[in-house]
Amino acid sequence: MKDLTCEKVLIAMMAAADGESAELSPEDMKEHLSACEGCRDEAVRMQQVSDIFQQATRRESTIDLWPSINSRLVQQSPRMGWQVYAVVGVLLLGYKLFEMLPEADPGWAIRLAPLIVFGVLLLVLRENPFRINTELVLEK
Amino acid sequence: MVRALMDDDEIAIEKCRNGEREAFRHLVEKYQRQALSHATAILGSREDALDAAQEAFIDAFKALKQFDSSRPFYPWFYVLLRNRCFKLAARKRETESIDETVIVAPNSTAQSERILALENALRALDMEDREIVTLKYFDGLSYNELAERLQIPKGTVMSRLFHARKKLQAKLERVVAT
Repeated sequence: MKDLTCEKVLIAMMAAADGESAELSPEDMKEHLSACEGCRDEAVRMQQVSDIFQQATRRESTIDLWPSINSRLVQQSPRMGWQVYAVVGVLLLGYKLFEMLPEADPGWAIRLAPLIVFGVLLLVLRENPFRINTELVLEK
Repeated sequence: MVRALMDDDEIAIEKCRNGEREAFRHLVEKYQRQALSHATAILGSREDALDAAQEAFIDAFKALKQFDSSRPFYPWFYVLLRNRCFKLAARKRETESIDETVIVAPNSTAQSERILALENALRALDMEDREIVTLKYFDGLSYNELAERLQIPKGTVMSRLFHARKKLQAKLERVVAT
């Protein structure tokens, strides 16, 4: 008789029952079982557990995750890059310098330009920078 | 022609990579049931599973550029899902009522007492044991598939499954005897 541990035999039996290739031959397992009452009892208990699994299946959930995932992805979509803000800043600075020229006399329409640029920026960003976000929480 | 050879998942992934967020809906709707079941089996809680699955899908969306499209999506996603589950487990909520099954559902021949006992026995296992047992006996994954899914060698799969089953067996002893 080969020197087999009970655990090795039981793992081989489990593999065989699961339809996997076992490390031991059926003869080796049979030989061990015929001489080991503990493993015979264990084999019966293993089968009983398998029988319970036969009566059960996974419980499935029907919750639709997409709406919440979608809104999270929208929130996390890349924001306007720093380049846009830089361009706006340069434009406003240029306008201010132009205004400061002694001979410059911009009409009232031109004077509205910074306000228009700011309004367009808000439209593009689709976000009110003055809104207070009450949902902000500190990261732990 | 190339497009015709691609399956729905590959097309959706390709679109997502090109910035089409809406295309991700296909992957979420296709795999959410599986993801929620697996996360519930690992965490033993529906609420936590919901959080973990959502986070994992968002992780997947962000990481799609690194995904190898020649491989199936779900096994790759599963790694992200289980990472989220294990992270979440550290701040685990109270599990649901013990009279309610969240992991197990009976099939037509089942006795409700046995199903409840199996649910409770599974919940009493630790997460890794619960995960391997349910992947094996509910999803029917082979040892090689388990090894790939759990990123462990096949020998480790066998021994981990054996010990997980033994623990489950001990917890089911009273029910099994009747």
